[in-house]
Amino acid sequence: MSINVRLQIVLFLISSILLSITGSLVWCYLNEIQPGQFVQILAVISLVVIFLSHGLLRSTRMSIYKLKEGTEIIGNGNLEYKINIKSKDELGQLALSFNKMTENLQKITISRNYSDSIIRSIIGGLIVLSPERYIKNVNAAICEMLGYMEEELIGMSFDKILAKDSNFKFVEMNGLIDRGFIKNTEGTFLSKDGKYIPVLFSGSVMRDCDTNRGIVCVALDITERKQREAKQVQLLNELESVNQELKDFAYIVSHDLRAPLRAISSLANWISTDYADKIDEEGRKQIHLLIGRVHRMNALIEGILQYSRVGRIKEEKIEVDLSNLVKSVIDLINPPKNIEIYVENKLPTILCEITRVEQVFQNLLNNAVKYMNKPEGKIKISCRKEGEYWEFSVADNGPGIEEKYFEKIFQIFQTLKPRDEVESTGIGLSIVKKIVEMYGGKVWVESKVGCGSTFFFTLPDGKTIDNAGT
Amino acid sequence: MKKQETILLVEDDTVDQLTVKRALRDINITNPLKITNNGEEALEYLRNEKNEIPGIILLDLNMPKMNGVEFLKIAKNDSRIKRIPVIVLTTSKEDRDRINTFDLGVAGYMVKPVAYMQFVEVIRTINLYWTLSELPR
Repeated sequence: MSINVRLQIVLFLISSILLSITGSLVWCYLNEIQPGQFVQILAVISLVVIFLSHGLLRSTRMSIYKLKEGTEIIGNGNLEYKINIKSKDELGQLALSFNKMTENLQKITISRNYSDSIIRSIIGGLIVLSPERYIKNVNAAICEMLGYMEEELIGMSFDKILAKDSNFKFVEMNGLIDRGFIKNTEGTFLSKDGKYIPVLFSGSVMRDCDTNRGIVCVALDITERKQREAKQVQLLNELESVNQELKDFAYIVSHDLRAPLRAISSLANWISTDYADKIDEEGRKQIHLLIGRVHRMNALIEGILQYSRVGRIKEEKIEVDLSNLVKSVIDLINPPKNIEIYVENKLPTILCEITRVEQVFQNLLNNAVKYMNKPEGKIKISCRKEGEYWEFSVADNGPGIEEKYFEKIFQIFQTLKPRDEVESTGIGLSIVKKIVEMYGGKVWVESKVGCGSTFFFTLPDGKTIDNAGT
Repeated sequence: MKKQETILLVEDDTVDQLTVKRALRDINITNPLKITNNGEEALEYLRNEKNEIPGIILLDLNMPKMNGVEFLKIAKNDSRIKRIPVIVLTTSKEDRDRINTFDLGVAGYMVKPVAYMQFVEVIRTINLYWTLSELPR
């Protein structure tokens, strides 16, 4: 019991006695009571006064006790606590002001419970380190990640949960302290059972008036991302090896398949010259057919090689004036006198791999010339700007193509005429399609049997230089 | 071809050997023709002091045991052999073969045509070049 409380009790007792004596004297005087009875009355009144004072004192002490208890609880950080004093006296007023104060405090500060529950519910791992790099606080996520209990981690040296080859060793941590923070650094944690856990790590020094109060670290488990990256690298390697196989395949086709073909061709040629007198007309015809087939097979192999070269061999993109390009392609094709090839409007200059675009025009024009069945052949080249793309067309007045073959003709090795009638590998249009689609364009045909066909293809505008006079 | 210097053909395919032999005959070239089947045999022949150094080597690329590129790597480091002009005679049109062999100092690169008559033209061209070109002694 404090001195103050004892003093209160003594004061209460004295005032009670004085009050009792005064009360008794007044009672005796008013009722003309004999002084002999005075002692009895004094005793009764004293008892009543003492009883009342005691009750008053007790309730005061209870309120003081509640106040004391309340301040302790609030002092420990629980700002939600309310002091329960209902009296209307000064103590009641005090409790009311106290409750009001904690309410206001709660509004402007975050209670310990609240901050603890935030730390607990952060999905990433959170570690608070002392300036000496000992673990001071952790959350559930880091415990789960490392397989330790919270009690085991707290007090442990931070270096104990770092893998040997981790990126952020002492030097980096010192750098972190100098700079004040470290952001999204990849490193490796070591779990309790010795597993390496790749993490994305960020840390920040808590400073208070330039004093290092510790380091707050956040670590995200990036095992899955690392696995995905590893998978990607693996896929890329596989792709490279498949690509290498394709290159090797093209090489084998170009060399090993052609060598025996050449031998067959030479031997057939020698037989027909060396034994000319022994072979009749029929035999010569057969040898001629034999050599023809050899050349056809050679053309097929050449086609496969060309097809596989598209996209495999990269060429530098340069500005190409398509007007000049088409002119030189027409010169190369050297169409017979009955076929006229003309350009309807001025073609643009575009940024492209010249050999590829040349091949597109060459294959389309070649087909138009090769299949021409009219005495007066007309082949028209034109272009127009269609949004982000240039649309080119090669129109002929040849035999035309049935609609059901519109898709099929772009597949490799597909021809519509017997090869003995028109020597063709069926590779030209498939190469056109491959090149155009490689550039992100489209190719299609419109045709009417007997009237002719128009092949369309688009090439992206990209960095075109618009000099076309459309 | 030049005087009566030996022509060394390094070629594994019998028909290709016949083709060269026949083409030389067809254009009346009477130089002696020595045929070896691969790079190893060619080196053996060239390193044998008893054999006269050939005036020209016609080299196939794809051969068993030691291919044309492997042969060139050794031959071009051999002081006895390195100045003999080598003409590659191959089926391969691959860029990497052209680059590799020219890096190794070949004097020419000819693709074997499928048609025999074109093959004869190739041999005729090699002969013309070899006859006109000045060579180190």
